[in-house]
Amino acid sequence: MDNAGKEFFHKRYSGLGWKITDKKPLHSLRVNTLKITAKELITRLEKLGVKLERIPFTKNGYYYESKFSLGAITEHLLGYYYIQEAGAQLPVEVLDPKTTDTVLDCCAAPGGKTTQLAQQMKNQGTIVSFELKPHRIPSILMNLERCGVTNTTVFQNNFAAAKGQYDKILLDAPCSGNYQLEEGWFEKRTIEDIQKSSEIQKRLLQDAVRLLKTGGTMVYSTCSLEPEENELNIQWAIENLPVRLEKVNLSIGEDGLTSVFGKKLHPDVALCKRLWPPEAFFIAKMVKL
Amino acid sequence: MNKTDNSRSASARRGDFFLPSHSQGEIKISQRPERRNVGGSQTLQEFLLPFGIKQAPEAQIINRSYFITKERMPGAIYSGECIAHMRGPVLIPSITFLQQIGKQARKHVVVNAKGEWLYICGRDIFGKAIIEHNKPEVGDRVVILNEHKECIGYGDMLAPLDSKRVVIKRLFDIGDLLRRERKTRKVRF
Repeated sequence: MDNAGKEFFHKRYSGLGWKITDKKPLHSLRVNTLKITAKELITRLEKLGVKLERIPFTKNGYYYESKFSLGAITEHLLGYYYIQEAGAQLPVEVLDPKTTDTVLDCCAAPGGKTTQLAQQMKNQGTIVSFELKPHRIPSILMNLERCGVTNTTVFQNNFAAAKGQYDKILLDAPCSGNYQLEEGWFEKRTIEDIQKSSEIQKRLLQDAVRLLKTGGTMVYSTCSLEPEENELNIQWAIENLPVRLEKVNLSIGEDGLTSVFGKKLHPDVALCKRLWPPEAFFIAKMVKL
Repeated sequence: MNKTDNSRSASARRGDFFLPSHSQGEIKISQRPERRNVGGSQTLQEFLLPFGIKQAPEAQIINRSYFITKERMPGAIYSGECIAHMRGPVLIPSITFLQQIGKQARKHVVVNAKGEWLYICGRDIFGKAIIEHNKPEVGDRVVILNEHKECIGYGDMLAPLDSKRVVIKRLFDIGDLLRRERKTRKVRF
């Protein structure tokens, strides 16, 4: 096939300026400061033989090396940490919710970013979370319970059904993913899948902006590497929605692409951040006009 | 099933309002249509009594779970602080509420690291795993604490602590969370 496969996608990524590496993402966790301090947790995990190293570009993230699964020990079951990729910890940090904010979490399961929102808001303010897919609901409920989240209300529905207007919105959109997260990704995805995904994301962006207060902030993120789901969607948002972009202040990653396959994009798209693997994330921050 | 439960399920079937009984610290329950499922389950007060805890928190039932919540939005499936879930005729506590039970319960034992690991894997407690206790007796409901004094579950005492056999029969442990997750992963709607 000329629109799929490893070679096809690698060629695309090279065309976008990425020097392909096979570097795998390191295992990482986020300390749940709602329940424990980083110092206490580090002491306990190191006693168990876990090696931890601070992730320099996150607030509460640590890379870890362990000979056993960190998903089944007491500290995890008591909600002292959340196993979360380093890149996945960034959208909430960019959104930077405050303790008085009302926040909409659009596609919430399995709840990693919801628990992080609650943590950053010190379990104050209000979070309203939506998850459409019924089979993903148990995971978010269990994670909220485990992490001791008390400022969140969850609905099993499309977030477009949300009522009211929100100070901040996190739209971590469903996407085609990336080859690091899914075995056989190259064989499963075609460019048509990515275009379909992009159309859905545009609808989600439109709905989310409608629910955002004037002057409110929204973060749009995906773990996809494809420009159709990232920069091209943001270009579409600038052209069609009442928003302006704000700079994503992160010490890692590259500026959003402003030239994609020969097409020139709005210069503001460079305010977004594109993280190539191993972190593999795209983050855009926008304010409603 | 006791009298209170019977009357609740009957009133739920009729669609009547549940009348709160505040006199003995029982939780306040106001009418919501989905509370029809309440029939048959323990109340929070009934659940806490064997631990020697007489005061149950004020909670609302949402989606077969108890929550302490200021505001209840229609259609929500989780709201505020989750404290317990209905599982058939019994309640199981949330991880956070379990810690409160662990602090207030009348009887406790502290187990060593090996006993802790086996316990969260779903095993019962042997006498040799217990490193500290406050003299629980056979028949007592006992909370199980680890060396950090965190509550990892509870059980019923079956035999004196110096016996060489199982002394505490596991009723609930925090590993339940993982087992619940594995079970629900198999379900596809």
